[in-house]
Amino acid sequence: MSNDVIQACNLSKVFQLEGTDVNAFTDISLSIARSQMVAIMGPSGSGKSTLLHVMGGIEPPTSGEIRIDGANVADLDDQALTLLRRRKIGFVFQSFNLVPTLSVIENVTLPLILDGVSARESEPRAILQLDRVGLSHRLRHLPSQLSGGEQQRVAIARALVINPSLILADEPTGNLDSVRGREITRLLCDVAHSGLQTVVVVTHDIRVASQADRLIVLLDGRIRYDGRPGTDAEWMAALKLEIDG
Amino acid sequence: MIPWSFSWNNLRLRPLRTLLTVLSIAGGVASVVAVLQAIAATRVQLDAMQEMLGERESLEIVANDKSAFPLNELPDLSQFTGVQKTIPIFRVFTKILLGNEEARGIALGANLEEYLSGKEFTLVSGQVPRTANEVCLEESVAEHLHAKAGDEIRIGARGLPWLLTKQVTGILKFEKMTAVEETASIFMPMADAARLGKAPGKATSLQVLLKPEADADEVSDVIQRTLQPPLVVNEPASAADMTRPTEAIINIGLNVAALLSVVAAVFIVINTFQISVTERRKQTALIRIVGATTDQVGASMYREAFVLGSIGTVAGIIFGVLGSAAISRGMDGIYGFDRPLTIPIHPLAIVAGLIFGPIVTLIAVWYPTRLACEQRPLAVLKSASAPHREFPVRRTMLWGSILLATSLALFACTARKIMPDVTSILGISLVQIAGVVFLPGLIRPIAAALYFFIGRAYPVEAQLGHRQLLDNFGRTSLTISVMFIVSGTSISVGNTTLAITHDVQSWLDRTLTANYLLRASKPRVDMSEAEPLSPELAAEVRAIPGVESIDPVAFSLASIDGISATLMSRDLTGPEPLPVDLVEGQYSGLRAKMMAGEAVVGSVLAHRLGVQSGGEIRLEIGGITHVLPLAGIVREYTAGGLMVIMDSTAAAELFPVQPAQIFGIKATASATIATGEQLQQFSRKHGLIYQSYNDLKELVQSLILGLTDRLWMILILALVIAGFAIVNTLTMNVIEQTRYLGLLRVVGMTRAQVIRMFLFQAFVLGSLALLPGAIIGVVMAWLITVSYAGVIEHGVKFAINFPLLGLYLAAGVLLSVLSAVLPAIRAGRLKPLDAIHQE
Ligand SMILES: Nc1ncnc2c1ncn2[C@@H]1O[C@H](COP(=O)(O)OP(=O)(O)OP(=O)(O)O)[C@@H](O)[C@H]1O
Ligand SMILES: [Mg+2]
Repeated sequence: MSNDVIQACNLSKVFQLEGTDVNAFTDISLSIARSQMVAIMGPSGSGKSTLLHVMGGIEPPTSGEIRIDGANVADLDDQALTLLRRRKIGFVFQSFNLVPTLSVIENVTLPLILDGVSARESEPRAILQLDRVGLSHRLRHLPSQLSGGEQQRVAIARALVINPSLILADEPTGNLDSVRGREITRLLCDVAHSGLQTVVVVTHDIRVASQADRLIVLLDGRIRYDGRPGTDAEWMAALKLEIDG
Repeated sequence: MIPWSFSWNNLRLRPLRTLLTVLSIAGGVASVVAVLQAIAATRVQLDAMQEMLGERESLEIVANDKSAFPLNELPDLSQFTGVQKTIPIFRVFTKILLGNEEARGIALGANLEEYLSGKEFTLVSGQVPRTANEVCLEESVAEHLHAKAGDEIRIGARGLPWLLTKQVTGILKFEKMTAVEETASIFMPMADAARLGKAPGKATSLQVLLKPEADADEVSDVIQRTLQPPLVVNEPASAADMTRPTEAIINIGLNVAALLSVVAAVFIVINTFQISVTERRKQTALIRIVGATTDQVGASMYREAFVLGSIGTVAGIIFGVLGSAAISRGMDGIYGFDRPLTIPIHPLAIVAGLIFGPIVTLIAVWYPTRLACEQRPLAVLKSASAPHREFPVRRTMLWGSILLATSLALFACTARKIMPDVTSILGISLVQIAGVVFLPGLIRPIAAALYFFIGRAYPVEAQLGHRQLLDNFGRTSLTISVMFIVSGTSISVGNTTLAITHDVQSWLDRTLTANYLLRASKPRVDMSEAEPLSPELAAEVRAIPGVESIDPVAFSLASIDGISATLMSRDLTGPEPLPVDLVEGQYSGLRAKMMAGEAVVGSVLAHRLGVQSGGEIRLEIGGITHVLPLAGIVREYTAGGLMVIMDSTAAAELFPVQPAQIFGIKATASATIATGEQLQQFSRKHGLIYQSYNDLKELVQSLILGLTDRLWMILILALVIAGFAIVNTLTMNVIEQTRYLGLLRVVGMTRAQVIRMFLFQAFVLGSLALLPGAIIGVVMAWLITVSYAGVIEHGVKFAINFPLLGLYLAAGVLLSVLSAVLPAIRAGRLKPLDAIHQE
């Protein structure tokens, strides 16, 4: 088993929309090592979410090769890919993360239950994770009774509950106040550093990015920067300008 | 005003939802149209049957003592509602002579042109007599006498010292069932026949022709009240007696089915709209937040509904007509019978569809629209995707109880004849509707039970599927309501129809064991004064090759506690099974009891007398009365069921019974057509009436079969409608839950699991509807049997047809699971990303 959880080679993704091609990203090659926290930044529409989806195996690339935990996605059928997701990847989306008709605890135990784990075993595990995100007192509430940020935290708990090798989070702190946001960021960092788990987080927040071990900046579907965050403060400021502008 | 383009986009950008909505309206309309079509076709079949069985819209007034009566003693019957006209008839037993040939038979006198106008006959030669001393002959009699039009014949009658000379003007041949019933040998003007019977100016019967819409029983009752003894009203015995119960019950069933098809269709449409509008609630709320008034939102929703409703209605009418035609052609193919099964397009069905479609659409869109407009938009935005688990089960239980009480009250009224029979149809339908209202109360326990069992094998799928059904409680209720109504109605109508046809069939098989009948006279009316069949004749018949045995049957007029009935005495000593069809009592020991002088009575008579097997009857015949033990109660369709049956030897010891008037002749296995022909020859020679009971049996059987396959057609149609409702609901579920399903896929639900989850849901939906449906179906079948007994007094024994029940349940559950296959596959195909990209 390679030490890299993600190995991407010449990845491109092109969406075809009524005749016109939309390039989400082009010719991306990268490897992501275990136990790392990787931040992806870039202006809106630069292809961050799409890259995340490809890395999670829920969107096939148009060309190029992607290996998740050593397995070539192109070689996996739907069943195998599903099992891979179920056991190794935790997702946190930009929005709409929770099943509206399931309670908080049910949403979190869902991947475990899908995997055949009994309720007796899965509930304590879920509560543990909910405790980590500070929501263990809202177990029986429905998503519609939670704020956007709270829903996001439930989604993170759900991603963590399967103890995945890879956590893919798309702007997990986008809806959170700065205190909570920092807490979540720290949580994700801890997760990455405490075990064999890798966290890839898409963010617009430079403070989140600065916590990461590695920063990837996308611009128009290409990698513009790949390195440690915050090594060159001036450059970062320029980048921030570019991103925001 | 919200622009049209907005509505247009709404319909265009959600093509599947739009299609499903249109399809559900079309399905609802189609089911109404198709059921009405099928019913219309069944009625056509019933009419055809009546036609084949001969004149049924007539009554006959005769004297109880068989005497001729003066016509001026009768009230003017033509003023009675339902009476079309009256035809006086004189029947007298005659001897006809031509050259060396002699024939015996009934002479019938009447205004022949009037009399024959309603009969199925052909004039083989010559013409109908117009003036005095002209006669025409029945074909077989003419053949026997070698008579042709223009010949002179001589006729005589009992007690008439001389012979009268008549001119034969024509030869008649009766057809279809008229041939069985109209059995006179010679026809002449009224006055001539009366003179022959030495009773000028009198008649032996008055035929009362009824208007097509008249109810024979009602008119009969009204007329009977105005008559002085010894005059009584008879419904002429006819082969129709045997199929009438079938008709009556099928009629009740059809009416119930018609009413409930409408209810089921309403549920289908409401269900779809409930789903599709709920799905749009979020969007509606957004529009309201940006400034649309509730009126505007409402208007645009109604507008869309109207467009969809119109398209759906037109499509539904086309589907309905084509569908019923296709099914009927299919049935044709299965049976390959030579029966008129083409379904004419019934204008009423189409009009009903045209009215039904738009109205139901508007009703269906009203409630969800009100909901969408009433709630504050922000609340809608927050709660649109929340589960809807609350359901006012207690309130619906209350309503269900009220409905049930109402329907029971209606039944009580019908049973006591306070209200017309229509109320029983209403009552039966109400029971079903009450059931629908109770149904939500059963969802949780039944679903929980199924979850408990299936959850062991597929815990994840069962848990999620179960949750989803409960989270959409209202939708689940509506969906199963459709199937519930369909299965309840189908099972009740199927059970009763099969029960009654089985009843008739069993009676036919048990009692009509003869292959041929020879008799001296027309049945019923003057059965007891016919020329007896002598033992010498019996010996001659027995000599005919192919004849196995002869069953001499005699009919005598009888009276029990003032109720006039017919005693049928027949020789029960033979080795064959007793020719009685018991509904009460036991076959074992029955023969010995009857040989010892016990009697059995028809169920109608038993019902009127209020006696049971093991009881006693006071039987009076020819002024002699005996109290007889009752050995059993039998099914009897002839003589309106007012029949007492005894062994002939035992009866003759007690009463002055008539000698045998009918020979039931059983043929050997090697009997050929020649046997029948020889019997026919024989009957002509002796002025007897010959009937092939084989033909009669076949006719009745094919008619019953014709009706039952109509019934199957309606049941199949019903299942198709139910399956359609499930496909529709589940597909709507898939559309609505695209995001939810996508999310499940992201967190690791496999395709197979998604598919199994949907199949589980379908299985639960099917069971939720079908199990209670079977129960209510049986209850309704029982109620139909009860109210049917009120209609024609034939106590049909209620029995649950378990094969039908099992078959229907299995077919129903299978169909619901099959209906789920397509939506399930569709759900399985959803990509994880759909969860993120939707809306
Ligand atoms: N399903 C799709 N169909 C067509 N085009 C798409 C699809 N998904 C993304 N795109 C396009 O691909 C490009 C990259 O989109 P993506 O969602 O990855 O951007 P992003 O970097 O996540 O932006 P944001 O920060 O706004 O979330 C965009 O131009 C987008 O319009
Ligand atoms: Mg994005």
